[in-house]
Amino acid sequence: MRAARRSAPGRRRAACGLALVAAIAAAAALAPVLSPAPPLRQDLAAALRGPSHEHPLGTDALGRDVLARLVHGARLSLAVGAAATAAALAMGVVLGATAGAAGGLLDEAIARATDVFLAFPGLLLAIALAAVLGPSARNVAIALAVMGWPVYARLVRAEVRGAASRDDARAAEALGASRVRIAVRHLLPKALPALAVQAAFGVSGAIVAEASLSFLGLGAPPPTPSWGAMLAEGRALLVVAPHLAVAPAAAIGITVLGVQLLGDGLAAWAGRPALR
Amino acid sequence: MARLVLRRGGLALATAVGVLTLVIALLRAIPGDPVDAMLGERATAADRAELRSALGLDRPAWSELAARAAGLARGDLGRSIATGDPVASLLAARYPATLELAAAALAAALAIGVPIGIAAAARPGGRADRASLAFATFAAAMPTFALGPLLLLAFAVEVPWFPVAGRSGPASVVLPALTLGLGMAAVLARQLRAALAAALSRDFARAARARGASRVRLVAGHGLRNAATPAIAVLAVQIGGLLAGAVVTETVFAWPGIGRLLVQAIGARDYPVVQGCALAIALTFVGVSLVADLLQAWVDPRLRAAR
Repeated sequence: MRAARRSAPGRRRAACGLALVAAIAAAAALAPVLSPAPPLRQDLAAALRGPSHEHPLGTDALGRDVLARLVHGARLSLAVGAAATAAALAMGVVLGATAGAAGGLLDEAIARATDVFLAFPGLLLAIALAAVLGPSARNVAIALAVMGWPVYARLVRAEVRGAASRDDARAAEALGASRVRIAVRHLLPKALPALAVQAAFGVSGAIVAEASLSFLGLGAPPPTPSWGAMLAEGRALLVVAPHLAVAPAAAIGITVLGVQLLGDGLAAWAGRPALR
Repeated sequence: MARLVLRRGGLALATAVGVLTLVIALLRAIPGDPVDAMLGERATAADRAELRSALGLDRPAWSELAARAAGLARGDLGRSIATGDPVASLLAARYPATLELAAAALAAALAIGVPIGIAAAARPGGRADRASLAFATFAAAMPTFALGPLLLLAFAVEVPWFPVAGRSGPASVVLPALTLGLGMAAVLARQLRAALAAALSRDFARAARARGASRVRLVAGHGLRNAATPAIAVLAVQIGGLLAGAVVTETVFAWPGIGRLLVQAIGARDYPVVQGCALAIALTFVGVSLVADLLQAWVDPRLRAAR
């Protein structure tokens, strides 16, 4: 199903994804410039206004500018998504490479732990962890990293095991290279394309999960602008001020769409589907 | 088949024990003292000791695990700190609502995903195929908590066909089920399309066509049975996401299920209820995976031999 996407439409999807992701990243980077007002400034006299010239996306229940909170929320979403994925990637690569290179009992233990984590709904684990650790952006990133590492571990373990019998690994072993050196210099680089594809989907998963936790009140505490928390507020005021829900919902949808299209493009480039 | 049931059942039991261990370990992983967090600074020493013993924090983890497993077997999950009600009866009151939501979402996913998958596979690369890809891409990109409010806005506020919140009659389940089921429908449609298109290009399908089998018979009799195995596998994985997604969806729609109970209990620091909810959701998931695996082996005789 993915082989077909390697053709021109596949490239077009990837380009669309890249454009969307670049636009969101630019909005996050330029947040202070794009904001009509500081994201935390309250103006109760102008609360719950619809879109206007002064506030292009309207104001929330405390009279704060929705556009300002949206672009500042993009910073949080992208930062948590990137940090959680990087941490999950690091954990997964180290554990997977260790398991694949070491073999034996250690390999068995890591592989079974990976299976148990993969068999469990990740979001539920993240909810439980975030509830235990307390609401903060850092704790959300930790919870999401714990939720995310097993996919990378499984992938790297498989790659390392598959590559260990290849000639270059054998030659390095014959030359007296240590197991760690063989794993890092010869086996890991082969896993990079697959890891890049997986990490792209990991980032979109982490962004959704961060917003889910914030929506449930388990994310960064108020008044930090966060898409999930903005949606929760919009849900509560759906009848009075529908624009409050539409803006963050659209932002999340566009971001996830962009990252997934980009991931599809990467998968076509790497010539392999992602484990989703 | 009997050996498979035994093996797979053993694995499910091991996972269940792992889940129970995790649920108990979580409470002990709370930074600081959970008793302080729940009672505040002014509680008396007697209150603290009582709560500590109710939570099982006054004994070693292994003894707590054994006591909990025994309690679970009797259907005893402890009592809510906030209301004093038995956790088991709280769960029993909420479980049917979650089950109803999950079943409705599954039905919605099948009703939307299967026809789209079949239509797309009938002519790979055709208009229906391209449209289904676009649908799947957008549906998969829309998380439940974003889709839910948008559906509410469209079909409960602007056009008041369905209630805005709560569980009151058949109409109230439509929007939550759509919210929860749409992402699953997208994945299912793509998976079914891929598997069905592959099956229809194989020799047995060509032979059936040569014998003059009708298009319907070809797809229904030959294609779907072969495409069902990967589709069931995808469904099983998705049901895990469905249960976790139910936590969010129930919050969006004020649906009185276990997920909402979990979120409320987290807010109230009612840890026995949190543990009970997590356990109920996780064990449901373990059970569903077990059933899905066995169902797969039943549909596809090749899997029975392979394991």
